[in-house]
Amino acid sequence: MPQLLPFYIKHMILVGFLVLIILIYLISKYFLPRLNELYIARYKLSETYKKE
Amino acid sequence: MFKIFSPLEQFELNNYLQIKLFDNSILTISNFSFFLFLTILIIFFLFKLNNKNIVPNNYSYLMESINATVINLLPNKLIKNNNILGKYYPLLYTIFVFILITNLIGLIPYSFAITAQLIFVLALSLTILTGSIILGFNLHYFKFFNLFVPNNTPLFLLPLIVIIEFISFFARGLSLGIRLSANIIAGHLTLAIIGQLIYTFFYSNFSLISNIIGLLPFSLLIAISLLEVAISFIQTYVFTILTTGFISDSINLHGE
Repeated sequence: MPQLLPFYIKHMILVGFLVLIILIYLISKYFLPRLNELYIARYKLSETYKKE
Repeated sequence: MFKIFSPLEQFELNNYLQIKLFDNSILTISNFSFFLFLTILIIFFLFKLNNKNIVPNNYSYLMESINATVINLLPNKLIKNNNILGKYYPLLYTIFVFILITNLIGLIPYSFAITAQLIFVLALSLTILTGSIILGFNLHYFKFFNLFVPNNTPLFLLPLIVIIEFISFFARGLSLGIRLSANIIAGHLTLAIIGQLIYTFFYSNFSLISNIIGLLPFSLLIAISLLEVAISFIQTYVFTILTTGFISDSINLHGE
């Protein structure tokens, strides 16, 4: 099993955490705010229709 | 001639590409890193397809239901404190989506189960444990040690209880990683072993009886595959809920 070699242990931890950091950045900066905006837009729309 | 492969072969790391950059650094693209980047791509496209639709499409239903699931995982105290929710919610959401997609990718035949790699998953769980300890010290300073003393403990039992609580706190961090990895490894091993059994029944003996008996492990394989899909969802849920527990314990010691 190559993953028992120290080189591959470092490889897995380095690449794994790099990918997680990229994902956390993308999700917190772009994806979740977008979802939040969508919820706000739906809320505002429902509020305007309620008034009418 | 029928050749028996080791069922552990599916967890082996293979190099696709190795480029020597400098004296001591080698750029390696293995099946591990390939499937990790594939995970990023899948998550990116899932969000891209959910392109600000006021009226949700199928992909939006998926992403919004994941969002609702992760929000439901949070304890009420964390939700009421909006600052803390805003800080740690993206982390929990990322962990949920990441583990779910990697678990489901691992179920595709001839792909690679990333969460079956004990080293990576243990590193992730121990990082979460260390992070929660740092968070606790940052918020409560030395009051954080209150976590190791349960409420209303008799004084004569205190030394013993503190040692037990201390061990159980660190064992939780270890078990968080081992639970996920062991479940995925066990499921994949079972699938591989039953797959080989079916192969021997259908291809090595060409008799009608062996083919009829072979239908039994075949139906078992289908049932276990369905169970594996359920396990990948359940383990994702468990991993995220325990991470939430760590963070919530560090923020509110004993729910104070």
